[in-house]
Amino acid sequence: MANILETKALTKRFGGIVANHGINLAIEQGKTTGLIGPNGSGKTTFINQISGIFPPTSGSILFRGEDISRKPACEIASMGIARTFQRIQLFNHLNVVENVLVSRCKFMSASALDVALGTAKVRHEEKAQFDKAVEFLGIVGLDGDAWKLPSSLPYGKRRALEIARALALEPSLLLLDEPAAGMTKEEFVQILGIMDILKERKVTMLLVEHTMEFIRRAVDWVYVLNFGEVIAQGPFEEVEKDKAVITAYLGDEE
Amino acid sequence: MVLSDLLQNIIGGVTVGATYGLIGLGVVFLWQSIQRINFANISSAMLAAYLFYTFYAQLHLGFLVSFVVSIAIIAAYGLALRYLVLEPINRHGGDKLEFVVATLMLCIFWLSVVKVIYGGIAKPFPPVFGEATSFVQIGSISIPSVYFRIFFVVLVLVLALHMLLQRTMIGKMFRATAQNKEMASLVGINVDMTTSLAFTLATSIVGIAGILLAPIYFVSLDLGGGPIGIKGFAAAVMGGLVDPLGTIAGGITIGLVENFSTLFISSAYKDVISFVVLVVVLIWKPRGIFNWTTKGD
Amino acid sequence: MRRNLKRIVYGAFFGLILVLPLLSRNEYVLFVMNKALLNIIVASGLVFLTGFAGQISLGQVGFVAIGAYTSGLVTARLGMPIPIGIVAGIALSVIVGLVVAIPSFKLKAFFLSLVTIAFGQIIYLLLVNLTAVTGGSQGLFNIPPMKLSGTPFTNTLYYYLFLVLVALVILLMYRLKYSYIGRQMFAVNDDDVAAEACAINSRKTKVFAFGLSAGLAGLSGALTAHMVGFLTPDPFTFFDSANFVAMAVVGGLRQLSGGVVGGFALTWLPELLRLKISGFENYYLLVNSVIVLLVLVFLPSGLGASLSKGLSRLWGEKQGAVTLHNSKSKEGE
Repeated sequence: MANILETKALTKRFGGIVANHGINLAIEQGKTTGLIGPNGSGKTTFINQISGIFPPTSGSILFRGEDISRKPACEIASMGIARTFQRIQLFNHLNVVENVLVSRCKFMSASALDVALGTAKVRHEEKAQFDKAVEFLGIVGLDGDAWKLPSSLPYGKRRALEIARALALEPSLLLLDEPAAGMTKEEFVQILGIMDILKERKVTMLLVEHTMEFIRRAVDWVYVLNFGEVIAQGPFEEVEKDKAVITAYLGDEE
Repeated sequence: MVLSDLLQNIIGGVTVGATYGLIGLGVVFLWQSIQRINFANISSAMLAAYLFYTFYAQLHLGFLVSFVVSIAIIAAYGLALRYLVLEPINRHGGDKLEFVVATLMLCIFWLSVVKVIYGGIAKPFPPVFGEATSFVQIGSISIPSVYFRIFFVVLVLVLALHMLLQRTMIGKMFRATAQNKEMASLVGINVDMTTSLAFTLATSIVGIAGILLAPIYFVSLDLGGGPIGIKGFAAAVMGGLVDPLGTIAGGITIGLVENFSTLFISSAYKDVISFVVLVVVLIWKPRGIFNWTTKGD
Repeated sequence: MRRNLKRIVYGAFFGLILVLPLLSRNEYVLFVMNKALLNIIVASGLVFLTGFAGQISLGQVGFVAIGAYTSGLVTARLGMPIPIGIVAGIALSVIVGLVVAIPSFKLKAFFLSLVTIAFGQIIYLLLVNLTAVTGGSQGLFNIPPMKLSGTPFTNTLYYYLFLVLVALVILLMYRLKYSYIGRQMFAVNDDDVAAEACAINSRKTKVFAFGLSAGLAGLSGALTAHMVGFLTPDPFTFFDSANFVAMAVVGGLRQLSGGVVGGFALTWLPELLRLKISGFENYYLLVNSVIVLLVLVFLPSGLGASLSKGLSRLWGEKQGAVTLHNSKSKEGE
C-alpha cells in the first residue's frame, strides 16, 4: 500500500524550544496510524504543521509525493487533508447541520454572481449539499440533532460533530487530535463506534491520542513521540512493551 | 538646520511621546488583563484634567488635594466602568465588539458632557509644573522646564509600573490572568479582584497622563478624543502591547516622528504621517517594533 | 393561520413605507427619511462586514467620503453625467477598500480597528488639506443634482429611488447570507483557524466583505453628494464612523434588518431630540450616546434581534439557523 503522507526530518523550533526534531513518519493509505507520547512531546505541533497552521523550520511534508510544507491551511484542506482540534473548535453561532455545511462550501460551483441573482443553479446546489450534510451527520449519529446549536449538545456529540464536519470535506487523510479526550464511558463507546465506521469506509487516519485503550483498538501502526523525537514505532502490541516507551510514560500512566 | 533646533525637537518629541505612551499604558493594562480594548480610557485623560482644573483653579483646593481627589474619582470611574458596562454586556451575551462600541459611546458621552459644562474652548493649565514661561538653558537650547518635570514624572511612573508588572505578586497576577483566566483561577488567583484592579489602574494611569499632558495641550476637549487618544493606542501597539517600557518607547517614537514631520514636511500633514507609520507598523510588525515577547508567548 | 398574520403585518409595513410621501407632505420629514435611507445603506454594509464576517471597521466614513467626493468631482469638475460619477465613486471606494483589506486580513480585532481608524483619519486629513482638489474646509460646491427630464429631483423622488436601492441592498444581503458565502463569513467570524481547516480562504472572505461594504458606503456617499449639492469634510470624522458602527450594533449585527433598524433609529433619534427638546442642541450628542449605551448594555444583540425574536414568536416560527431557511427544518424540532 502506498504512503499517502510522509514527513522527512520534520523539525520545528519555537525560539529556543525544539518542539519537533527530525521526525520521519509515514502514513499508509487506508490504514489508521497512531501518534502517541507524553504531554508536551510535540504531537499537536506535528499535526499543526501537517494541516498548515504553521510551516516547519526544516524538513518536508510530502502528501501524495507533493511537498506541502509551505502551503497555507486552506489550500491543504482543499487538497484533501481534514482535521479535528484538541480543544473543540466548532462554529458556535451556526447550528449542527450548518457546521457541516461549512465544509461543503468547497463543493459549490455557483459563483457569487449566481448567489446574488438567486439562480436555479444555486438553489439546486444548496439543496444537494444540505442533503449531503445530513448524510454525514448520519454517519456519526447526529442526524436527529441537525437544527440544534453546538452549545446545547453534550460533549461527546460535539466531538462527533467536529468529526462529521471534517469528514464532509471528503478528505483523503483525516487528522484526529485527541478525539477521545475527556470522555465518559458511554461517550467513549460511541466514539469507538464512529472509529469503526470510519475504518470500514477505509478512511486514512492519523490519530493523536492519549488514551491507550482507544489507541489499542483503533490503530494499525503507531509512532511514539518523546521530547519531539520518534522513539519507537510499530504495531501497538510491540510498542507498548518497548523499554524506551515505558520509561517515557512512567509517571504518566493513563 | 541648526543643531539646537534639532535637539529642541527631539526633546519636545520625546516628552510628548512619553505622555502618549502613558495613555497607551492604560490600554496595555486593560489588554493584558481582560483582552479587551477600552476606548473610554481616553476620556479618563480629559476628565482627570478637567477635574483637576476644577479643584485647583476654580475651587482652590491646593495641588496635592486636587491631584489625589481627581485621580481617586477617575479610579472609581474605572471600577464603575467594569460593573456598569463590562459585566452587564457580558451577562447579556455581548462580546468584544459590543464592549468596544459601548466604550466608544462613553467616550462621546463624556466629550459632550464636558462641552456642555465647561464650554468648548480650551483652558490654560495652572502652572503646577512650573511657570509655562520658564525655560532651562542648556548651551543654546532653551527647553520649557515644564517638559522636564513632566518627563521626570513619566519616567518614575513607568519604572514603577514596569517593576509592578514584572517583579511583584500583583504583576504576576495580572499577567497570569491575561494569559489564561481559567488557569489563573485554578492556581488560586482572584480573577475578579484582578480585573477590578486592572480597570482601576488603567483609568488612573491615563488620568495622570491627562493631567501631565494638559500643560502642553491645554485643558481641552482634544485630550478626550481624536488624535491624542489614537496616538495613545498607537504607542501601545508599537510597543507590543506587553510592557510599560515598550509602550513608552512606542510613544516616544510617535512623538519623534510627529515632530520631525512637522519640521521637514509640514505641520498639517504631521498627523497623516503618524497614522501612515502606525498602519505600516501594524501590517509589517503587529508584535510591535521592538519585538518584545513575554515568557510563554 | 399564523402565516396570514405574518403576511398582514409585513404588508402593512411595506404599504406604509410606500405611501409615506403621500401621507406626510412635510419636506423636512422626507429629507430626514432620505438621510436615513442613505445611512441604512452604509449601516447594512457594516452589518455585513462586522456582523457577518466579524471585521471591525472604525473608518467607514472614509469610504463614504471617497464615494461622495469622487462623484462630486467627476460631475462638477469634469462635467461627466451623474451615473458615471456614481459608478466612479463606487469603484474607487471598492478599490481603496481592497487596498486596505488585502494586507490587513490577518490582523486581529483590535489591530484592525486601529488600522481602520488610521485610514479614516488619513482620509479626513486629506480632505481638509488637499484644498486644490477637495476645496478643503470650504468645501466642494456646485455638485449637480439628479434630474428627471430637466427638473431636479424632489425629496419624494429621491425617497423612492433610495427605497428601491435599499430594497436591492437588503435583497443582496439576504441572498448572500442564506448561501454558502454567508456560511463562509460566519465561519470565519466564529473561528478563522477552524474555517481554514474546512478549506475556506479566510483572506478572500474578509477582503470580499470589505470590498462590498466599502462599495455600499461609496454608493451612499455619491448619492448624498448629488442630493445635497455640496460637500465638506465635516461629516467624515472618526465620530461619524463610530456612529455608523453604533447603528450596526444597535440595529443588530447578525440581523439582515440590523442596518435598517439601526440606520433608521440613529438617524431619527438625534433629529427628534433636536426638535422636541428646544435649545438642547448641544445635548443631543449626549443623549444619543447614552441611549446607544443603554441598548448595548441591555440588548447587546441589537434591537433588530429582539424585534426578530418577538416577531418569530408572534407567528409561531422557530428560529433555527443563521444561513438556512427555517422551512427546511422538520416539524417539531
